Parts: sequence; C-alpha cells; structure tokens
Amino acid sequence: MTRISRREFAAGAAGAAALAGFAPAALAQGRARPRVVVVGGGFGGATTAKYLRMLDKNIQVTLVEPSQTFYTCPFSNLVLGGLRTLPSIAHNYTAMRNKYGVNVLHTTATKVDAAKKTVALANGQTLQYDKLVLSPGIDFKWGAIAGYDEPASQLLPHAWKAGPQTALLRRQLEAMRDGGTVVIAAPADPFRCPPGPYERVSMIAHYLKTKKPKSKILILDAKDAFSKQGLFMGGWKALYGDMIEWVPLSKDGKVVKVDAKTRQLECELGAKHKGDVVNVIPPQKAGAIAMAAGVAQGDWCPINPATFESTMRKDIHVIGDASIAAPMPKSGFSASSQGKVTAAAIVAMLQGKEPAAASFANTCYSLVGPDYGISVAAVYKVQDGKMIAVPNSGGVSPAQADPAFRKAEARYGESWYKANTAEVWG
Amino acid sequence: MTRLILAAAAVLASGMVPAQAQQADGRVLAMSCLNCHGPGGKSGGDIPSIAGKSEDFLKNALVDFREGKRTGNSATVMGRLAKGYSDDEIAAVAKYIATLK
Repeated sequence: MTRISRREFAAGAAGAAALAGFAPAALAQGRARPRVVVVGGGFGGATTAKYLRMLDKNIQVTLVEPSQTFYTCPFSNLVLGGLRTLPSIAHNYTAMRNKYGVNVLHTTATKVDAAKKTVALANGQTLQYDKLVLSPGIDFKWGAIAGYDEPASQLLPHAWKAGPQTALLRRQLEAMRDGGTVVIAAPADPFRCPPGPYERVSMIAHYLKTKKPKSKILILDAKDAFSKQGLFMGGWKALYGDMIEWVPLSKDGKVVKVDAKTRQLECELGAKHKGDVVNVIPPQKAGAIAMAAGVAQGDWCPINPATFESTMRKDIHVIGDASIAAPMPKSGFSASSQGKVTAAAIVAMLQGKEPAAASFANTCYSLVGPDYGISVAAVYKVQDGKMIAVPNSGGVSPAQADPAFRKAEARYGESWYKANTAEVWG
Repeated sequence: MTRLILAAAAVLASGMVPAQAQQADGRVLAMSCLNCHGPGGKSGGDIPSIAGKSEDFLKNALVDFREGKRTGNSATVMGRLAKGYSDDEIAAVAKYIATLK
C-alpha cells in the first residue's frame, strides 16, 4: 500500500471523469485505489468520511453534502432558549478537506445505480464507487398531518432540521406576547432524537420564565411515554411549576390536522387547540436518496448491524437516522458511533479481511434548565445478527440527585457538545 | 425457526460472517469514547481527557466505574457505560487508549 500525498489524492479525486475512469477490474488487480462515496455530511456521514481516511489513507473518499455549513440539531434547542447563538452550532468541511484529504462536493446526490455502482449528482457529475455510504438523515412525511406541508412549515416551523427553521421559531418566540401559549406537536416513535422535543419544551420554558412568565406551553403528543420522561417531568416541576402541560396520545394528544394560517390544531378524537406559536414536529422517514437507491423498506432502511451494509443492496451501507438500528436511538451520537464502525468494516472488507466485532455507544445529554442537565447512555453490540443493548448496562440519570449533580451534568453536556462536534467536523 | 433461517439468509446475502466469529478490537471498541472525551482523547472541556493516561490507570478506572466504586458527581454516565464491557473488552480499550498521547 503506497502512501499518497494530499495533493496527489486531491488531483486524483478532482473530477467525475477521473473517478468514473477506473474500471472495477483495475481494483481487483490492485492498480487503482478503492473509492468510497459518502452521501450526507451530518454526524454519521462526516464521521465515516473522516475515519475512512484516518484508518486507511489509500482509500479515496468523496463526501457529497449540499450545504457548506452544517447546523447541528443537538444544541439547537439551546438557541431557542437563548443560551446559544445559531453561529455557535455551525460547522463546516474545511478540516475534512484540508486535514483529512476528503474530496467534498457541495451538491445533492439524486440517483444510485447499484448494478453499475454509480451515484448521479445534481451538478451533472456521476461518481463511481466500490463502497457507498448513505447517511441522509431524515425527510418529513409532508401531509401525514393534514395541512402540514412544506409551505405550512414557514408559518408553523418544525425546526427539526437545524438552521433557518431554528431561527424562524426563535423569532416567533421573541415576537410572542407575554401570556401566550406555545403549542408543540410531538411525533410517534420512531423519530430523530427521542428526548429532543422535551428538551425543546424545557428550553422554551426557560426563555418564557425569564422573559414572558405568564405564558404556557402545551405539548400535544402522539405517544403515551417518552425518553427520560420521569427526569424531564421532575425537572419541569422543579424549575417551571405548572407552566407546562403534556397531553399524551391516550388523552387525545395526537395531532391529525393543522390550519397554518389560524394556528389551529385538531387531534384524533376531535379536541381543538390554538397556539400563539405552534411548533409541529412531523412524522419522518429516511432521506430521499435512500428511497431512490432502493434500500428502504417502508420508511426506513434495514441493515446488517455488524457492518451497516444494506440487506437490500450489496456494497451500500446505510447509517444514522435513516437506518433501522433499534434499540439504538436515532441520535447524532449513535450516527457517529455507527459511522466509525462502518468505516472500520469498510476498510477491512476492501482489504479482503473480516471486520472486527462491532461495538457502539450512545450518550445524550439534555438540558432541562441552564444548570440542570440529564443524560441517557448505553452500549450496543451485535448478537446473532441483531443489534442489542448490552444487558445490565446503560440507563438514565438518577431520579433523585442533588442540584450539584444536575449542574455537573449540564457542564458535561457542554463538554460533550464540544468534543462530539470536534470529533466529527474538526 | 423461520426467523433464524431468515436471519441467516440475510447474513449470507450481505456477504458477512456471523458476529460470533469476530475478534474484539481495542480501537473499534474505543472509538466511541472519543465522541465525549474528544479527538485523540483530548477533551478541552469539563469531561476529563483520556490521552496520556497509562494502560493500568485506564483499566482500573473502567473497572471501578463498572463496579460502582467511583461515585458522586464525577461518575455520572461512566458507571452506566462501563457496565457494557467485559474484562477482556476493558483490557483492549485500555491498551488502545494508552497509545493516545
């Protein structure tokens, strides 16, 4: 294996013509360097691209990501609460290019030909791959809630992909009168970031308590239980009194219809609600390229958890929110952990070796108040071809803890964000 | 039974060998640690750095976390996480992380 300089690598990976020129036979004869295309520059995709290059410099890695700037969903709730600014959760691909020699293309992948092993891009290029990694995150099921389509999200933001939507929801909260009601519609499982809606409630409650204390928050939920529920509810009571009301599925909490202009919501059994600010977190599915590549079964993508290779198409790996990896949650940390295992497996597979036993972790902090953090953590492995949480491990923060413990977890959460994003984009 | 056969078929179809045949690899086990402890094990925040620690220190710390011998505000998630690893896995993790300087 020859070590090739960054400049040579960049030259080799510069254009589609150059990339498409390699015939698969050349690889078998050891003349060409393996090509891996990664689609999606979020926690999963960016980690995979970086780790492929860290583990084997011989691999040519192309990362396809439309945005120049990536805003993380983790900590976007802190922007809503006024504890963070949007630029403070922005990340870019400079290190990916300059430090790790990843060929980053800011365009959209539109089509995959699994037989020819090519990916078509919106900029007209076609990339040839030996291994393809899809980390497309989520798309919304527009219309699953009647009246909630993309234009409606400009009036009732989802803010479930961070960036302009986060800024829009923040502006609406800032413009709301004291004494107003914020309605948050939370989806049924599975969805991106299980504790996310409830951390959002917490952060909005913090903002309201500070600036508009007569206001209320109403959560309309399409399920009867949620992540870290006891911890959130205990924290809400301690910090925000009776500001927050949670309506579960069994109490007619499932929103089935919205009127974006009047900000009215209608639930399954007929209950009607109106909000001054309405945040609809709609049902979700795997990102569009997963559907186009034929690796989705229903809304999500089945994978072999040992390698995250699709069970539907050979040499296509699907990681992160788009994959069916339960009991791992759809979280940025999970996606990054999966990206690392996938990178190691791909390196082994391309060298004709057996991948090492897969091992994953997930650790997610949520902020209930500025000095009140809670966490969930777990370790996962593969047993009999299935993803399992290692028995007797993992769990959430203790139900009873002193303020110093909650404060420590708030500080660890900050440290976690810094380390995690540096590990992915730095 | 049908389920088993289906699982086996899925494994074969994707060209993989069953997980039981695979060996623990310290680096693969330890990679997830860095999402909290930072790139190369250097944290830069309140979570301690793990770079530059000796293999023995790391092994003992992980075992202590797992056995509940480290408690209080410096043992928030680590007890829960360490319980997910066997003695062999902890040894492999410690050996790999000790190479991070």
